Amino acid sequence: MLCICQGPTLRTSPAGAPGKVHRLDAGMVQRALAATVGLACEHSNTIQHRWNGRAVLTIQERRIRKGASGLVLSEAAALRAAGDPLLAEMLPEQVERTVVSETVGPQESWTSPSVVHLCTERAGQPVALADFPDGFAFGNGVTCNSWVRLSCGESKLLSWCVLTPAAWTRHRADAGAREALRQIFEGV
Amino acid sequence: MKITNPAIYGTPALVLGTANAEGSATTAVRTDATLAAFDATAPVTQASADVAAVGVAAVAARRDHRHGMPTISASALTRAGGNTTEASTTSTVRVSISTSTVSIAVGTPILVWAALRKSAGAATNAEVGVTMNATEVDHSTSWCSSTDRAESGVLLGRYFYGQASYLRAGLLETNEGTTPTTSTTGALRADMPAVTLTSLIINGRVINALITMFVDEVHVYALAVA
Repeated sequence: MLCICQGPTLRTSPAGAPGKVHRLDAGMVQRALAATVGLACEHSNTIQHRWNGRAVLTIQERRIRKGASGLVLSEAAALRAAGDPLLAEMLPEQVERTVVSETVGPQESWTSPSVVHLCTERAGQPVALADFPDGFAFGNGVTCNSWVRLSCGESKLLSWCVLTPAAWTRHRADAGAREALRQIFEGV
Repeated sequence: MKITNPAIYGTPALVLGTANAEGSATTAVRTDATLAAFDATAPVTQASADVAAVGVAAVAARRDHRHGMPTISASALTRAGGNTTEASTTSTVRVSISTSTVSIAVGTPILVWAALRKSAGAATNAEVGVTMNATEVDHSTSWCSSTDRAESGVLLGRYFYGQASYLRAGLLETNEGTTPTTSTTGALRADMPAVTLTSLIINGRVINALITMFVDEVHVYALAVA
């Protein structure tokens, strides 16, 4: 499920190089997790982790051209075969996705020991899921170098990933895998 | 009256005025006498829209005198917050990508500016939106093409914060730079919060996890109302 680590990720641009510092991005981390640790991330567009749990979404999709449902490809091909190209003109298309329902359940999470409060009132205490503000969305996949404003007002730079259920089972059982994941995000 | 011989000198009592007058003293002024032309009263502090005035003081102003000046009001456009750390995501559902901590009162016009980009890796696009405090006021705005290539663009949000109306007083516009296109969202999807804005989040997602979406250079500006 949800693994939260301290940001920023390791830099990829050489020290002293001019311009903005480049760092490991979400795609790089995602590939490293799969290639070096064998941990797969959740990519289903029906699974969203949030501040209040793991949401399973029911999605309705419609293909829209100029604001109206358009031809599917097979229909367009049939019209082109009929000899009238204007009828089968491929207009710019959008896919409209609407969440028609959702079920929010509990979520399991792991937070790196590096992620602790720095504010005076709670200095050194681990950051928990309850510290994330209402409305906050962890999504799925990998997210890196995101500034987060915790409920206590403290801003932290964090990275996180959402693992598939199988990868999460292994992550829970294998301390080596947990440490390898942490090092990919935070370095040695 | 003729001057006396020998002359009798006195302390000057010349008065600065608007017309010449003979005077009535019977004493003369030495060439190295001191005339009371100035005093130690500081000039007034001016205010905007002050009306011109002749003045009535019987003393002159020194060459290097200074008037107090009114305080220049704050800039009409103030950067209220933002961050310049590039965040990235491969999430295929909405994720809070980048949070800016601000403090903006209800009724303030605001501008939100952010740089966007996506990587190559799949023929798919990405979406972006804005969350204010805990309210997702906009989401699922497609900002790039579905071509399998790296693309970059900008997000510009214009809002009359806290205004609730049938238009919800906001507009989110995105522009993708490789092939200049503009995607504009009209009325917001939800009313903005009616309390002070403390957190503005750029949210978004990719349609396929084989590409990465980036958000950088987020700047939130507040405009003076008057």
